Amino acid sequence: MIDRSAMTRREQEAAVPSFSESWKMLSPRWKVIVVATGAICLFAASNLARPIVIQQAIDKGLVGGDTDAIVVASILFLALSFAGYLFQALSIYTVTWVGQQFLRDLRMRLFTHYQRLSMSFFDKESSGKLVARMTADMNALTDVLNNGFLMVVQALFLLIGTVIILFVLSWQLALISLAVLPPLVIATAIFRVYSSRAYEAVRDRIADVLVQMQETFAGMRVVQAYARERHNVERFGAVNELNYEANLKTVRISSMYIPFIEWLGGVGVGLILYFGGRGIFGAEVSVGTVAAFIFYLNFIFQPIQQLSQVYDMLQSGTAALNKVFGLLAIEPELDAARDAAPLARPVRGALEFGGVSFSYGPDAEVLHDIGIAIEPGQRVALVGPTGAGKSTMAKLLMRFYDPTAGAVSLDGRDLREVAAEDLRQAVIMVPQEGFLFSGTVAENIRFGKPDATLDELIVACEALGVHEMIESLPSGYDTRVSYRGSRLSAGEKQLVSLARAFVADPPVLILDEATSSLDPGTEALVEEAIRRALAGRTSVVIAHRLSTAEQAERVLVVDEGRVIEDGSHEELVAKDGHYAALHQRWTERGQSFEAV
Amino acid sequence: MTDEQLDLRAGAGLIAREIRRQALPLGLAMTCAVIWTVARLAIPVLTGETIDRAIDVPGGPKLDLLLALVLAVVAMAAVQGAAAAFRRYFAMSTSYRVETDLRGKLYNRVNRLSFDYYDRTATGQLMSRGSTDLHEIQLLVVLIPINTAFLMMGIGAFFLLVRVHVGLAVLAIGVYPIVTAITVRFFNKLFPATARVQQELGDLTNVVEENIAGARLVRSFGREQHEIERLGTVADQIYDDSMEVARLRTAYAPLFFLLPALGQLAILGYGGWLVTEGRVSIGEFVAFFQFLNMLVWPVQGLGEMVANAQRAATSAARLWNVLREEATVREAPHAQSLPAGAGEVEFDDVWFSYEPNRPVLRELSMRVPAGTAIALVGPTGCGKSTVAQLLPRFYDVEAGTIKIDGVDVRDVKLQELRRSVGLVFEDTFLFSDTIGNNIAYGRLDATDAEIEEAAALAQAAEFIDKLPDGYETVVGEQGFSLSGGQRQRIAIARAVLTQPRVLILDDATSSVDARMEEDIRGALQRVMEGRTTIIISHRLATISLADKVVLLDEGRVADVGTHAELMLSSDRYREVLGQLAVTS
Ligand SMILES: Nc1ncnc2c1ncn2[C@@H]1O[C@H](COP(=O)(O)OP(=O)(O)OP(=O)(O)O)[C@@H](O)[C@H]1O
Ligand SMILES: Nc1ncnc2c1ncn2[C@@H]1O[C@H](COP(=O)(O)OP(=O)(O)OP(=O)(O)O)[C@@H](O)[C@H]1O
Ligand SMILES: [Mg+2]
Repeated sequence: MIDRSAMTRREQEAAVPSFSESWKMLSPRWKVIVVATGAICLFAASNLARPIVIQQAIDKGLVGGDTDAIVVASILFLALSFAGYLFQALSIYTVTWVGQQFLRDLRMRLFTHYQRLSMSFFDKESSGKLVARMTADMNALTDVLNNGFLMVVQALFLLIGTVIILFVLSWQLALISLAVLPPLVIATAIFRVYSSRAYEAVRDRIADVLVQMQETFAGMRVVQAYARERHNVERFGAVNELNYEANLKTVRISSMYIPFIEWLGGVGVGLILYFGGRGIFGAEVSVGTVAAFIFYLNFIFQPIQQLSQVYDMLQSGTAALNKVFGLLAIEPELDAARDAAPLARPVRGALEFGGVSFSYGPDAEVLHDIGIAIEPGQRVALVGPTGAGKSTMAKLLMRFYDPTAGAVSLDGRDLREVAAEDLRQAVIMVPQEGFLFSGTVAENIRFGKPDATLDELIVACEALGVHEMIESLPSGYDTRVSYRGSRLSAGEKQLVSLARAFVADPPVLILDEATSSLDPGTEALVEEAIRRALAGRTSVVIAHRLSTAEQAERVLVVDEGRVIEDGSHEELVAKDGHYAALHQRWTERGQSFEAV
Repeated sequence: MTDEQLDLRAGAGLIAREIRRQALPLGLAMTCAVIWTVARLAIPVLTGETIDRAIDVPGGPKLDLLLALVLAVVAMAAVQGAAAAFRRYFAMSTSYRVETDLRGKLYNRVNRLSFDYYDRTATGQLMSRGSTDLHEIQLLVVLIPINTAFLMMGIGAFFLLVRVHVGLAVLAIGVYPIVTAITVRFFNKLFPATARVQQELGDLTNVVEENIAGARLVRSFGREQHEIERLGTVADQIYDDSMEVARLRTAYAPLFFLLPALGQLAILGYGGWLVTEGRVSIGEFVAFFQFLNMLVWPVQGLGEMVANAQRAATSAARLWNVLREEATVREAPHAQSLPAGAGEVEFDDVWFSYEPNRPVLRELSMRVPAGTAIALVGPTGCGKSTVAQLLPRFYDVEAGTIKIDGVDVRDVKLQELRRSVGLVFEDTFLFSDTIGNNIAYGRLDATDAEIEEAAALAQAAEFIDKLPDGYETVVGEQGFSLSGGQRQRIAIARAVLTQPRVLILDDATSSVDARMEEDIRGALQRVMEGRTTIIISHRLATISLADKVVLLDEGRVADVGTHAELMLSSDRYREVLGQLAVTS
């Protein structure tokens, strides 16, 4: 299993100014925050005042026999209730409003940040973690924003207010009845420690359960192919049971805490009754005061239990906030230069690697001092063994990464000085895996040119020979597909990806093994279509099949991070070097095989 | 996804069955709830008695009686606490038991369904069955004993009130039916809005996931702005619906505060007057307030439970939709073991379609003699992968038969069939586990030596040894990123290790370069020796390993022969292999 705890520890260590950053996002709405805080306090105050009204009614009205006092108290009580109603309504609405605005802004900020981050970042981070920032962490924040803030302010106000009122009513009785406070606080603190630990265990166990479910469900085909169902069910049974036990542990802990608290409440009532009844420190205590104390007892127990609940919520909220802002603090490695300027139109498509070296990490260099220039409109093939660095060269052309030394340029301009948007429009890469976004087939093909007409799509698909297949789908171009499950064969997915690039019609096209799942017949068709449709466009094609190289105007042979041969197919074959040997083997194999 | 048919009655039945199985602990929880109620009600009664008999009496407080009553209060509180603890323990543990059992059933069921189900079901959907939906059910199970206690407390409190003064009781309680009605109404309105928020949060997750998995494409096509707008739409919807929830809460939640207060007002005014009239004592007056406070929870809790029960039934209905799903591919009752044999494979007049009226395979017949290899060649989308998936019975044919060693695959024990067919899929899936465990996936008892041998056979040993942790390197979604060719070789090693009777390689060399392909070719040659093999490939070097070639076109067998024969006789074959120009 993966060491999740190590990951979280590392994340927490990164000290992030998340609170000041959050405040920056919240401060434009400070007026509403003031109103919300005020409303919460006034609501709590109206709650606090009501037992006093009852106490007055008892002492003056009931014991004293003053009917007017009862009428006054009733009117006051009614007024307080309505005030409470209004302030509660106001606080709920304003607090949620601020919270939801903040969440929406934060979601957009984070997603926009994802769109700006460099590809090297996505290499390092698992997608599950990035998704969790946007889901689980946002949910934790929603809890805090919707309830946490409200509960903290209210509980603190109630608690402090109650203590003050009790002392004003009768400092003697207050001293006695607040004797329950220390055990309450201590018990709650101890409970907090144990239950936090237990809940942490629950979070780990449920994560294990979810991870195993996710993995099995996603890899179900492999599971069944290897008849692993029974074993999986057994293994899941164990993990599932561990989760149950972890949950049970939290129940056991709270089952010890709760009776103590309930009993303490009874002790509180007893203390108030006894000392209130017999008088204390020589002072007489009125019946109304005794009643009021009993009512106020609730205002001590509830806020403390609430605060302890909120504590957990606040902790996970803070952790979530730190993780989110930690991510936001990561600067994209490839920021466009300040003087990034638009490309001159029309883009000609001249590409150049000027003494480019590159390494992914601090360790091994992958490309070494590559210097080549590709003319506008040239059709170039990159060939070479696995791991030679072909895909890496393509990624540098897309500026997914920046070279460690040297410069990659388009139309004579260093890519680092080209506005990102212009670069994206000028250079498009089709990767190996035919990736489908959830949506219709048409939407997928329109990806690079949202305003393309259906006719344009059909033209592209016909050129690639997928039109008929798409038409035969249940709803033709409007058939819904998604990026995991899809009803297309591997090759069909690649064809749709290619159609997408066709419709976008870029000045420079890069195909990184974009036809690997196609049969050579279809592949030839695709290549022919590319030649026709993209006449005059620069194209860089990476393919393991040498037939592709034969069709190109220029072949670059890459090996161990260097371009070792450069020339047309014929030239290289004549040169009798690396490529010639490769080609020799390739054709021989076909021929000797044919001779069988 | 949302147009799923929900049978609420079946959902309720599912919950009822689970609850019945937990009758004992739930019964104990209810018993504790009764004890708790009695103790809980006794405290205000005792409080009132204390005030009336020991404190507010002519001639000053009676200290002995006061002490006795106070001790009684403290003792009752202890009983109440203990009962609360046991009630909670039994209720919570039962609810977690139910949740755990149901999750086990869900997992079990999903493991046993067939590929057509996975084709139409998103992983995320199943995940939410196993998390949020189960959580709703768990919540309901907890609420049952707790609300029973509340309900009893409410009824008890009402009777105590009536005993003191009927008119006052009716007046004070009068608001509560309204509170219950409002609660039900509130939650019924709230639920669609919260369900929408949940749905939208799911949409948001999808957009994010897709954008991370497809980050390269988004950048490549310069679609960042559009994707940001797409997320903005969802985020705005979430905001709007969350505010709708907030509006509902603003309108309703304060009522739960106001209405009980009106009841208290009735006690204060009318009750106060009754006290001055001498018809009600001050102690009873104070107790009244406490009772009324006690009623707020039960009444609200009841409404909440009604609403929660509805949600839980919906969740259970969704769960039921998975649990009642039957595998379309099922082991026959009389299924037999695969007889000893060398793996002769025969397709006889096979028809198949994934979707009605879109036949993918038509009257397909072919025979692979035991121990020989055939290559399946054909244009994109002609049905090669489909053929590969029919042999281990991932789908069942519509018409015709498929036989291994003379036995219809539908008559063979399913697990055994699948163990004897090794399939390397065209998209390699690796689990988030070590490379060693990934290779040993099909044979748990494999020794390290066997794993390394399989890796060596698949030409994977060399690169694995170079990895920082070798066979212990964690791969998969959260692990070390391998290249496509490397992943394919691990998948081949995985298949090789199981020593299958029939080996199927679906485009297993598409991501490797020519030199590597040659190495793998050498390896495959050894693996294939004496083993029935079906190779799907477009590459001459790989096709050349096969004894025979079957040309597939539009789901039919267009031609059969050796590569050389087909090169001579079939234009279509040459076209598919891109050799038309060479020979013509
Ligand atoms: N994201 C990455 N992080 C670290 N190293 C990487 C990364 N991507 C590739 N590499 C390493 O860089 C080297 C060159 O990889 P690259 O993908 O460019 O090769 P390639 O010639 O395209 O190979 P293939 O034909 O298999 O696609 C390899 O050794 C590879 O392991
Ligand atoms: N799960 C599915 N649901 C519906 N249709 C499908 C499904 N899988 C494949 N198809 C369709 O069935 C046909 C045959 O698909 P199959 O994957 O067998 O093709 P293939 O010959 O393997 O193609 P490729 O060479 O591209 O992998 C295709 O037209 C495809 O669109
Ligand atoms: Mg296929």
